[in-house]
Amino acid sequence: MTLISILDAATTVTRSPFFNPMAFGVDDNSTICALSTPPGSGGIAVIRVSGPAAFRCTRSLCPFLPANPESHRVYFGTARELRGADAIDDVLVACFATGRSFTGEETAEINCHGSPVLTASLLKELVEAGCRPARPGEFTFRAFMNGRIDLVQAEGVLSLIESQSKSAARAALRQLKGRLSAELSKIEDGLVWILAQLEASIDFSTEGIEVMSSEAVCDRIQDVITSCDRLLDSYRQGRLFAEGLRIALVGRPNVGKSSLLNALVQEDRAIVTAIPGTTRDLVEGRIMVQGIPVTVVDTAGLRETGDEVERIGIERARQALEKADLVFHVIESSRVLLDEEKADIAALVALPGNDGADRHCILINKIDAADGDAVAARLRELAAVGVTKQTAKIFEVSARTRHGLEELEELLATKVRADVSEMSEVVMQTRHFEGLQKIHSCAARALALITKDESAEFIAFELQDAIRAIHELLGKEFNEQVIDRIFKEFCIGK
Amino acid sequence: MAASHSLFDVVVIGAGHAGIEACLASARSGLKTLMITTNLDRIGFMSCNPSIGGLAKGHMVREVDAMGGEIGRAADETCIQFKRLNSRKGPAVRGSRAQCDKDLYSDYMAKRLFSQPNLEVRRGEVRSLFLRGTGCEGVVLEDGAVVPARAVIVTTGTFMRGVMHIGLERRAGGRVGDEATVGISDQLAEFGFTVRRLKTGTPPRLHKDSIDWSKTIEQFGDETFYPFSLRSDRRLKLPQVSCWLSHTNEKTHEIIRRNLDKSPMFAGHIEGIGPRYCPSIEDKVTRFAEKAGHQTFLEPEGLQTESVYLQGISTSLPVEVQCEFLRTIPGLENVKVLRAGYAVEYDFIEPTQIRHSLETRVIENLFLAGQINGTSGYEEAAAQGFVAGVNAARKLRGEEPLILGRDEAYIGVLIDDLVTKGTIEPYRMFTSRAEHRLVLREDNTLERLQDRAIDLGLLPTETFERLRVIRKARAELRQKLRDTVLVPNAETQSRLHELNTAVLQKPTTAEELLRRPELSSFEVMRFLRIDSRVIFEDPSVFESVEIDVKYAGYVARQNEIIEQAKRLENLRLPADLPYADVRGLSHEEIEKLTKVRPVSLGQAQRISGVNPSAIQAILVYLKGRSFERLKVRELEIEPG
Repeated sequence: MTLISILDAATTVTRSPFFNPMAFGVDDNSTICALSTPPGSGGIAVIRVSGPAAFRCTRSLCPFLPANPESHRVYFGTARELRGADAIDDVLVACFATGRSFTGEETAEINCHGSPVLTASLLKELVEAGCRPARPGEFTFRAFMNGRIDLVQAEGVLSLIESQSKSAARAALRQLKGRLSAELSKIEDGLVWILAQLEASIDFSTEGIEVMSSEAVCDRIQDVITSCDRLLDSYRQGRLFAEGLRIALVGRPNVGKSSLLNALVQEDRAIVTAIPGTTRDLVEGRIMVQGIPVTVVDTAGLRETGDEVERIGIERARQALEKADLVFHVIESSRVLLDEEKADIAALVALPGNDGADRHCILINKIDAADGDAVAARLRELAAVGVTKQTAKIFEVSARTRHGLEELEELLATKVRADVSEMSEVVMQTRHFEGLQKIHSCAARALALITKDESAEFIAFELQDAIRAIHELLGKEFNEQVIDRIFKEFCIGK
Repeated sequence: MAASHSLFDVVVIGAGHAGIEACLASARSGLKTLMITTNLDRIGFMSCNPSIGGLAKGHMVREVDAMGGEIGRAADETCIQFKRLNSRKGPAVRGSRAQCDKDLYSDYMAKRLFSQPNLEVRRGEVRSLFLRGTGCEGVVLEDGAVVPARAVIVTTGTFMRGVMHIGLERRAGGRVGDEATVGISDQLAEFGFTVRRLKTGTPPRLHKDSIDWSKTIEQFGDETFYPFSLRSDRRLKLPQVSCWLSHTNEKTHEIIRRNLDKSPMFAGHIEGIGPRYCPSIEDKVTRFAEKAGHQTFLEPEGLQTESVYLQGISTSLPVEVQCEFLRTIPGLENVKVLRAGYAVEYDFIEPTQIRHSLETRVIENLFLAGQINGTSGYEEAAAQGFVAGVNAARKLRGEEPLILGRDEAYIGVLIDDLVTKGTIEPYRMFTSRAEHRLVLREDNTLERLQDRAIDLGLLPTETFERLRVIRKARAELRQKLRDTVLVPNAETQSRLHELNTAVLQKPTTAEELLRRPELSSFEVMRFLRIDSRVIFEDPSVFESVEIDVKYAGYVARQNEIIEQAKRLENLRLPADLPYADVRGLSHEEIEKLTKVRPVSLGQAQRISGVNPSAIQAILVYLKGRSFERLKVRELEIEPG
């Protein structure tokens, strides 16, 4: 349908050269090799070799490989230098025949010990044997070109490479295995079924066939809408997997936001001074909570200022506040609350649902330097504007003594757990989100048209548009499936 | 060169619905044309159902007419019942159908052919094509005589190696009363063409006096006649007749089931594939066993004839079984069968071997049209015949072929489907085959094809004058709707109230009012006190304006999709692209692409079995190649 637009979308969404075919050689029959595990030291490392000469090249440094290795079999032996035949490492080589590997090409995977020195010398030997180092994403590109994976799966691989957490990796893996594709195919099946009913009612209206009632059609469209809703909901979660939770620290200058950031991430990320306005731009720190990356953003203190740089910093702070999943309003335990502070907090906490108390927490900081009366006074001041421990989450913390930080971490864990449900399909990419939104709105319009008793061709148009959106997501062409379905389901014949 | 000695520029083999349009288009283009047919009495014969048009087919009839073809006028002239199907559905899926007097239809076409300048009609049988090298330079008749010609159009219908089946008996023939044609398909097969078999069937014809009409339900035609042709009179020429509805029942089905072993289909005598949309009654009873009855329309085949066509009951069971089961159908208890139903098997040329111009890929100046390309239906045949006739003429004059886009006409969809996907069953047009259906309507046929018609020049000037008048009327009405503003005064509000629609909140144009789905243009016109005679004088003017206004939003969305699709359509593929060298194509894809030789990346994408990754691979290959040769422009031909 609009493959070009798919390609356009893919190139804009992804940062890697994966969908920019020009990044890869044309008419390229070379055999490529690359380290497939993360660089650095680890238990083991895997080097992947793919292409028509994969076995031959691998055999030149792993002479223990037979001339025609069996597919899906692992061979053990010693890898040696081409010249001098010095041993490099004891390795396991997994062999995959053409048509039976991830890329669809002849592939060997060399498992060696995870040392950068070892992998570098193995790669050097492979290049000497005739391989070329693979470009980023090239294995996936070849898999796509050889028809081994569809577009959604290809993007899954990308997410997998780019994912920053274990959960994200799992979600990406599910996508790779085609679970999201399968989910989309299910929606498509539903749409094709409805479309077949409509088209039969149009093209075979004189044949006296019984087409499904409009109630039944409505029900099926409603099913599609529900599925879309579920997937769309998972996008927020998908984003959580890929990007993690974002927490913004906001408050007046010098209430100790930077110290809190440093305490939370347990390293000195922000410059801490006693001078108000020290943090002028955003400073980020990252911690892992139950496999999910949590980014803590320290913002410039919110205040009116004449300093241009600080003013920009404050503007950025406001944006960070809007994007954050959780906002920590930091106040000082030993200082009387300013009117603006009270107004800000009261207004934000009072917002409904996820915009309000669910998202905004109040941190009474520097608890170590204050006595109980001071804290009680702060709580009274908050209560006076309607913010109490019943209506909002209020924590007493100390960046210096780490008092109350455990409670905060527990809050983060709860938030993460609430957002992560292992069972559901996760929509990871903006492209999918937008596609699903389109499917959703087409289905909703179709439903409205049926209710208004509009003619079938317009309802069909909406459904075709939705199917087109699915095909764009899956990179599939529209074939004669509707007509085939009609003949399967109806007795038609003049 | 043979051409200079030719008496004829174009020879058309066959006088069916494709052959007629091919001859007329060629002769009207000014080329000396010869039609050769085996039977001069059966020109434009309706071998199956006695009607022209229907859903999606009616569209094609109007399209052929708008460019100067004959089928629409013939149907208008000989119509004995007119119906607009789906009249209560939306504007894009309404289809006109005319039931015709089949004898008068043939007569009309014969007269047209015999009076056409530049055209000669001859009885004769073509034994083979006269080929020289890879060019077709005429035909060889049964007596061995060569008729030289610069181009040949083959429209042999079901006659190529036709075999008729009734029960377990079979005999050669393309149709009852006509012999089969042999020779051409063998010759083409020898030349390397893929030739395959298809099957179609026809129901029994009944004697009208043997039917008890009281047991059937009368079906009337429509009040309003929307002629197919711009050149036709708005008034019907012939008296109108009714059709009659009846149903099969369990008894009918029981007899059919009991005798399935005598059906050639079930006995395995037929290798050709039949149409899924037109299954025999044997098929219906077997595949949809749970259905207690199937409807059948009894359609008179003309005003004078006694013959009645039994729509929906195509069968190839033995004659005595046909008689037995027919008598279980209400109204047919004492029926007399004039002619039994039968199946016919015939050769067709796998249509991926022809170009969009309908010229074959391997033999130059040889064009194929109609059932020989795997289609079914008079309208599909006529459309191809017209295009083949036009393109033979254009080719000989050194002009670019007429190739209609999928967003331009159903004819474009038809031909692109055939040459891109081929077909495994007799191909019939459906509205659902057109992905841009909302802009391919009957009401806007003239607008869609006006420029093509002017370019082809097959229509007389007075037709264009008439077209101009119609378009002017439409534009004026549209303007009037825009200019008329209704103010929310007491009178307006009370009249709106009467029409069950919301009262006005502010001054509103008539156009906006018409956008309200609950208001028909008829009501709005009355509201505006426009004389209703204006409406009835030419309902089409009125209707097209209404559609324009009411569905503007959808049409705009459809146009956006068309624009998107064009991006791939405009990526032209070189004819000599070596697909075997393109990295990332499967063997199947290489084979299919090499066979179809798509002209654009858009067409390549429509080939079944060619995956999106292949499209990308071709794109990559072409970009690489064009960078190599610094010929980036190769990819950017023909905008729009």
